[in-house]
Amino acid sequence: MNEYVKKLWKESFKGFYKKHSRSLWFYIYKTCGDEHMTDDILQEAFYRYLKAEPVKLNEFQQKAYLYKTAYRLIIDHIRKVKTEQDHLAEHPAFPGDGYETGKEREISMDIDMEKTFGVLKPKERNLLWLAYVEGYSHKEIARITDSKEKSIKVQLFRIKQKFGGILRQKGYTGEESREQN
Amino acid sequence: MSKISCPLEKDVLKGMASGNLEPGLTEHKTDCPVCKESAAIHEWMNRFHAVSVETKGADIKLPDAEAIWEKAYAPHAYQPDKELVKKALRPLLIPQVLTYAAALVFIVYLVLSNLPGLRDFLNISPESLTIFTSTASMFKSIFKSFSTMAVPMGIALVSLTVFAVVSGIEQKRDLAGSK
Repeated sequence: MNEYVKKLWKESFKGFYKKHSRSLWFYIYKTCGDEHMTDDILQEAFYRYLKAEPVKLNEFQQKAYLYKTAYRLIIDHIRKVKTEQDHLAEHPAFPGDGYETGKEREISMDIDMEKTFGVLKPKERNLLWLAYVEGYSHKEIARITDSKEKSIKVQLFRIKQKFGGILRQKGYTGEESREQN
Repeated sequence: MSKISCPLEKDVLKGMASGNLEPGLTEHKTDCPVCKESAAIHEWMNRFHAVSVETKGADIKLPDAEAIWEKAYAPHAYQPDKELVKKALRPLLIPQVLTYAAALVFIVYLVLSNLPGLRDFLNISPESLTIFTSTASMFKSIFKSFSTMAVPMGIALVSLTVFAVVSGIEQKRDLAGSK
């Protein structure tokens, strides 16, 4: 890579980072539930993204590549936790579980939502986040998670049923109950 | 909910995300169990995201983009120490050069020792080969006391000896340097 191309790539990276780093941070945090780990995974994901130099991909593909890398790092992290502490594998530490400190703790609604979301498994949280917050299609999620589109469709259906049930238990059914949550 | 998906689910979610859901889809959203469930989850997830950004957004200290760039592209990050590489490869350099030289000498020897055969094969006139024939006779006089097999074996032996000597010298230098 010559100096001119490198300079352009650097500028492009800075813009890309500014645009996507915050949403990626939340994606990682809401899936793995560990703030320090989130910082590490975010940094590693962008580092690997730079090393791969995906300049030929369009912005959407670059973003998907980044999420895919982050997802793999999260999975590695969860596996590591699973090996170290088997009981954490069933319910990995999550902000709502009570170990997190900071501003979030002070806001009851956020804590309640964190607890509700924390009931799901990391993989389920990951799929819901990608589908409903990031707005990825089944095909795109399949590419990010190295799965088959059909499998994503079925998994999302099951998660929706499970999470829908949890929300209904909490009295949330949609717009009309927005104020309750 | 018996249906896994609804063909309008994508449009409903897209409309909700943009905040501009068509009246027909709004009606469908309340009637279709798939879309109703999806819409409720979509709404909850985005509210969850918005609340998290509101409460935590300002506290997040993202790593500096420049620092990540430097980590990936700093010269020391991907270029090995040139001096170390040179030092590591030094013992191999002399035998390598000697091997090439020996191979070249051996090829010339083979060509010149088989010159009459090659001349017939390539159909070259004897006049144009005067220099080669004289060089060939010189080579023959040098190598006449050796058998054909002794020449490549001798070259290999010399290469190995030189390699052993050079490696020994390098090892001594390293030991002296570490002291």
